[in-house]
Amino acid sequence: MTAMTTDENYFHLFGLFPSYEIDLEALDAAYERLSLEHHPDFFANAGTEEKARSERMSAELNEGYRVLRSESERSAYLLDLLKAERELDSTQLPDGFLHEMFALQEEVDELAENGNGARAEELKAQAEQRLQAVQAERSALFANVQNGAAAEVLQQIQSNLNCEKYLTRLLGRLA
Amino acid sequence: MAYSDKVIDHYNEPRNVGSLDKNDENVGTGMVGAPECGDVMKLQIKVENDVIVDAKFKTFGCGSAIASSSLATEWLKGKPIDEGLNIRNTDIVEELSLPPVKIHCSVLAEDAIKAAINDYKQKAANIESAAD
Repeated sequence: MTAMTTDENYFHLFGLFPSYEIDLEALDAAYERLSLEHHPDFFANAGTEEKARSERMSAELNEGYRVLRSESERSAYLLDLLKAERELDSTQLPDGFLHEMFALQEEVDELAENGNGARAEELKAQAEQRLQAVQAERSALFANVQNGAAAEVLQQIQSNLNCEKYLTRLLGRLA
Repeated sequence: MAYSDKVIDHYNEPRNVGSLDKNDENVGTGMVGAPECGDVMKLQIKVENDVIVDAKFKTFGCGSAIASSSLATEWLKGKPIDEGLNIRNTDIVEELSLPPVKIHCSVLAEDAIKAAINDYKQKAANIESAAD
């Protein structure tokens, strides 16, 4: 059995190098193999310690897989690893972004009252486009980090991830 | 998780919803957001003779965020402007019995109060320096 401890990160857990771009097929295969290897069903008759370890490993594998499989969760997780002891401003947003979100949210309110379906579709398409642009920007920012960019890029990624939260929230109302 | 009666009361009947003219020199506007959940909160105050005579808010967020900002506007009305800065998020938590996972909603309201008061003070300082 492979020795793994919780202080290792999720990338290592699945035998991956910590990076934004990962081989999803390799992740799927490693998840399947390790889940089978540590499945609590196989430890039903094992000692208490071994049983507990199998349960702990299974929980960790599930959580790690969930995080790495999602592009945005993986980004947030990787940012956390990369920033290490550095402090980032966790609320920073591009100038004017909050005002823009507020105005869009107000418009969604108005639409709910007057039921303009065509305008709702338009807003939804607009928000989805913004979200795609945010994700594309994130990919480019992480590419910079891999080339050894400064701490300010990490802050830009934090700000980028913040934008996504607001856009997702807005899209939730337009669904 | 259940909301407290006070949160439900503010959520069902939010006080002071609306907006003030942000270009009015007596109006301070605070716009803040919580990236954890994507909530956006706008809080505005109208000041006369250093006293907050009116306060309005509009919040896109959960019940606790709405209740926190609604309560904040209630507390602000009639207060001297510098006393408004003394409102702490912990006061809001206590009044609304917010659970730990909703504390950030009260922080958001405190940030909005500060942002609105600072915006007003900034405006007043600009007017004063323009008059010199």
